[in-house]
Amino acid sequence: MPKVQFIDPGVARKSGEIKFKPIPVNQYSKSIQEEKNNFSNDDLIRIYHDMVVIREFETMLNLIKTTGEYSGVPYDHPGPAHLSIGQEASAVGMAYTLTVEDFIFGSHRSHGEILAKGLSSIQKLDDVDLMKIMETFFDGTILKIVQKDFKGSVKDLGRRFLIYGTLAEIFARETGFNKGLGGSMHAFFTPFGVYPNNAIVGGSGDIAVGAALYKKVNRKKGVVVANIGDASMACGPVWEGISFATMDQFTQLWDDGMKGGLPVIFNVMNNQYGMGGQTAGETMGYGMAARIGAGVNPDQMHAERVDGYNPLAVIDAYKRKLKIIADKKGPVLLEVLTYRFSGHSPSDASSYRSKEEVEAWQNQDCIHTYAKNLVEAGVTDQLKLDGIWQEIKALMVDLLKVSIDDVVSPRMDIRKRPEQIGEMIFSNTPTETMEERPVEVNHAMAENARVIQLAKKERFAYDAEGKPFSKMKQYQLRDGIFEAIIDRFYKDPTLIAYGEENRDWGGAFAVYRGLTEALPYHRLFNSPISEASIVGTSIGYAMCGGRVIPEIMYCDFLGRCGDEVFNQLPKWQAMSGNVLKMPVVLRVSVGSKYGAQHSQDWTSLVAHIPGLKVVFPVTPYDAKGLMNSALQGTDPVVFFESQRVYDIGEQFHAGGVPEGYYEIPIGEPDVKRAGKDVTILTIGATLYRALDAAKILEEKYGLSAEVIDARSLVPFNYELVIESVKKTGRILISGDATSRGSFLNDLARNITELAFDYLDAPPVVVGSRNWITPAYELEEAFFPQAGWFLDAIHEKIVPLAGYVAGENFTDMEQIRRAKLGI
Amino acid sequence: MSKNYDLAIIGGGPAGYVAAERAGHKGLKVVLIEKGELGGVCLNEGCIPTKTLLYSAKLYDNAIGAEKYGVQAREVTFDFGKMMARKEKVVKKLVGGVGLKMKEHHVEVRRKEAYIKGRSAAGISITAGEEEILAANLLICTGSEAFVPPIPGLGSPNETILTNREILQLKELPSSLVVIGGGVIGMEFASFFNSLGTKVTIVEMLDEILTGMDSEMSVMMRQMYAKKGITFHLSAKVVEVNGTEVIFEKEGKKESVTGDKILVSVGRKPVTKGFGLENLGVELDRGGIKVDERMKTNVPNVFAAGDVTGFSLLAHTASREGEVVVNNLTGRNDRMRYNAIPGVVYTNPEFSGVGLTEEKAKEQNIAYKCVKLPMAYVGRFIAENEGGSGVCKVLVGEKYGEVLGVHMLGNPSSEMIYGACMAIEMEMTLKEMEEVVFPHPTVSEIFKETIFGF
Repeated sequence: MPKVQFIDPGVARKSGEIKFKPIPVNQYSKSIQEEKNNFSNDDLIRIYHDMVVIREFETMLNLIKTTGEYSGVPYDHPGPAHLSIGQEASAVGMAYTLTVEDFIFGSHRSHGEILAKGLSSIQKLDDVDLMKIMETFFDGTILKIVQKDFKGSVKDLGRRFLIYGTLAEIFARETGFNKGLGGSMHAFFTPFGVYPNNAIVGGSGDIAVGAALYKKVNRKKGVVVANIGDASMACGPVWEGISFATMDQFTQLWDDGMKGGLPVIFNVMNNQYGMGGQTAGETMGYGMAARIGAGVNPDQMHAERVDGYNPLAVIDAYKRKLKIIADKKGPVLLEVLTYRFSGHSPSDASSYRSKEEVEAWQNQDCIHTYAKNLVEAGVTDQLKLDGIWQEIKALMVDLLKVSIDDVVSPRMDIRKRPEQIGEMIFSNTPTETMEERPVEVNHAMAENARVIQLAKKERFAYDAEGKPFSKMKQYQLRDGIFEAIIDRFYKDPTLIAYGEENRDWGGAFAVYRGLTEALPYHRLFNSPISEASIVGTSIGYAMCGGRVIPEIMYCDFLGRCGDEVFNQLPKWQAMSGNVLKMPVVLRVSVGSKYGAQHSQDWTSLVAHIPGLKVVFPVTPYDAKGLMNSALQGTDPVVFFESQRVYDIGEQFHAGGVPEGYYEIPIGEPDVKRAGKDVTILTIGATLYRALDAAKILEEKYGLSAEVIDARSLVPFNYELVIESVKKTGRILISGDATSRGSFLNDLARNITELAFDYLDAPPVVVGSRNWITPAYELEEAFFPQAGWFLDAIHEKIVPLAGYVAGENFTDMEQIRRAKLGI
Repeated sequence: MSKNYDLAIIGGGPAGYVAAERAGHKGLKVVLIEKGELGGVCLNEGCIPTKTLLYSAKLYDNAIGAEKYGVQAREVTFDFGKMMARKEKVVKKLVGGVGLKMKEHHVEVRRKEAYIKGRSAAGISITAGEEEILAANLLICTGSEAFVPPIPGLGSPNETILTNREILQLKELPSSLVVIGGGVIGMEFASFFNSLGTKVTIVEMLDEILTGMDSEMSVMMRQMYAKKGITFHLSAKVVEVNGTEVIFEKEGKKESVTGDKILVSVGRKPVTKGFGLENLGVELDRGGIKVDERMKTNVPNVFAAGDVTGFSLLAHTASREGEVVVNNLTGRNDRMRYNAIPGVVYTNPEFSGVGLTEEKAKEQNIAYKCVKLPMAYVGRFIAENEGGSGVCKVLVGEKYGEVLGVHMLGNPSSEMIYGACMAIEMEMTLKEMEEVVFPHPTVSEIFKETIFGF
């Protein structure tokens, strides 16, 4: 909602029509003879070579999966193999023009793309750089294996390195590109510009856009290619990625040096099937995927369908499309028509298509047709081509033997180092800035209006007499978050932040007020209402080496970025074998007054997923300290905030919130009130209701409650809580999440196990009811209230004299509700 | 203006008045609301009146059989009216005694209909007649009533059709009595009337009387009473009642028996209606109020004890349940246990049991060992039971030898069985039991002798 742009009703309401340009379809028609000026004979033969590498690689896997051997070498591979036999020309054509700086992202069917891009990069790298990559990657582990007894050229060594690294990865060997933790559907190798392939259909549709954003914002060379399937065009995140990539602001609002479209090509590898469904004619309505470009932006995304059966047609398209990107006119949508001979996976009997159809496409096999054309054009002869194929086959047999040799290519020795995978879940590497270069800001931090304003605020909520300052005077929780974030913006040039209202508006709940003035557009901007792309692009941005703060407003919108938060953000550090880092701080705000779809605390859902750090500070001191820690780290942190307490002042930390930088370690709970008779452990803003309860317990019933604020969910240090339980023998655990399946139960279980001998009563969970969140006026019946703590203590821990319980915590009711599922 | 209490109790039976007494003793402010007489079914129309009558019958039996002991009693007769009058006197005395206990422990008693209005943050609102009562906690002990099954012709109790309540009000001795249901209540009345010369017939649907007790002893008991003149129809399902005629189906054939009076004693059902229980949202289970081990219902601050819960249906269970409520209310963590609840049939001879029967142990796959001895094994029994017989059976766990169940047929087993209750409650083993000294000569020694049989 930039004020600089005026929405003129006179213009907006004018009648007219939208005009479309024709979208080219398979227009390439040159013969090899005609292309001889553009390609040397070696180039043309290398295209053949690269296609055959893919064909043989995939054939090898197919035979291993279906017959248990390849060329007499027996092997059992229980894992997946989604093969692309038939699609070789599309992969090689896509990769041929790309440089090492260009990144590709892919799908579950991306072996061919890994090999094609790898071979292309090897060809373009000079020998010194290539050797350096191989020598430094995993300290030369892979190089040593493929170098043994090999006497050939550095480029051939590079090819061995590529094929072996990919194969070993597919076979889950520790010597694979990702230590065997990625596997067939995820393997990648960033030094060759091969970025993560994604087992979730369409998963790369937004992540790749984030990579392009990284290149643009950080002025890095290269384009990003999102290799996605024809069927993925129906996936929300793909559409969201496309929408994000084509935002007008890139060309209309960003600073002059930054103006221009995102350098991303959506490369639709159209093999015409999505699982058992035929995209054109059955499961989609687009006829041709390229049509979609016409609906996205006036450039129609420069959409085009090319014949992916002809590598030269694809190369031709790429040459033209890369020019568009170079002219800052991206993004581009390219549909590359192809066909997979193999099934979805080796277990697929292809019952959904006719033998005749497969044969018809096989008769036009991209490799054989291309070979025939080469021979006809006099580039080479069949004997030579057959020789190349035989050499590749021999290479495959050789590398297969090496990659399945348990001595040379072992799997992770989990028995020897049982925590090896655990150690990869987080990178835990404090890093002040992701890159050393000057930050781009609009003014000195000291000149920032909000910074100036904050200097006048009271950093502790109470005066010397214990009287609270007025809300206006108090330094609030939102200020703590702001201070940590603006501080990092002035330290880390890669740091960017975006969400649906981050610029001009001032961010949800006024956290970002003042940032718009401080930062240029490309560091703080508004995104589409599209949580999948907000989080998905952040993942791509971070993968490439940038730090980012995506913000999705309400917690309830987490469902809208479910795959991104549950499958992508948490997993790539470990799935990469710790090659990638993920410095993403996802800000999520928990509501309270807006009913069933704007008031849910979903911390538990996030805490359930391995690979995410989860924090939920509710005091200004904790919010600033934890945000500092989150931004100093390289791990994904889901940073929960509560709308109940954005305006709360600091009531606990003596001396108030420090002006300078400090960190609160993630995972350390904090005693907010000392006591001796009962412990109350809270997550989130429930803290303040627990403190109210503690007061009543003390005054009316003589029970002294110790109140502990969890502050973090993942990781979590139980030691402090157990010490408290040893003292009190009783504990209540509370938060605003609906009780069933919530993290509160996790805490209760661990405390039970760890402090069983010290407990005089079972740990009691005081969570929200398993209902929809009702209207604000009815929330007292839904969220834990101060009285609920007393009710639960009275019913389950120790009877309070003459006490009449409000909320029902009886065992019988617990059983009854569970029986009804409410 | 309503009055505030720590605990309100609805129902003054063995659950309610015992809980009131205990709670009052511990300093709680208690109100007990009872629409009838204090003491409940037990005192007014159950345990106490029947035991009083049974004692009269036993005296009569003993007088007739005195000769065996060298005592001659000639022209032994009885006066039914006087027996009934004495029963009234005993009941009145005990009911009065309960009232005194309530006073002693500062329990306020309201002899009024109770009605629960609802529950709020302030407490539970109840009315006792016109009076408004507000209590922090509520204990419901509304008890049970005789269950009259929907058999054609049975209808509601009348001149002929009687339940435990009406039969205790008879003015004249019936010449014949048909008892439908050979459980504890049925057997006790059968025994009483049989002693006094009434022609008694028992019609039982199951294949044995007193199911739930040790089945071997139930058979012995039936055989003893058959000798005394009671007719038993087992596996006999009553299908119709026609005036004084009870028609039943036995092995596929219809038979009938007539009696001046017909006693219906097939079971009892909890009283959960008529006092506003529905205003609390209390969960019911098979007709009774559902409670947990601490006698808490599903509604905070609301408890239930006694027959209204629908399972044990024994006065002494009810009292203990009431005590569990008070213990939990006053900070003592107490859980109700049902594994050592004794059951006694006050027939002549008495039949007592506690803990697992062999049938139950088998059903629950509990590995046990069992020893039984005839009562005649101990001198005191022979001395006092000329020609009488009886048996004692002890079950212990196979692995640890802990006492699981004790069953006795013979007098005065009702006074001895508590020893077995203690053994089970304290989880005593054979070894520990062997070290207990029993007084000699007493019939109770049969327990120790049986223990040494292992």
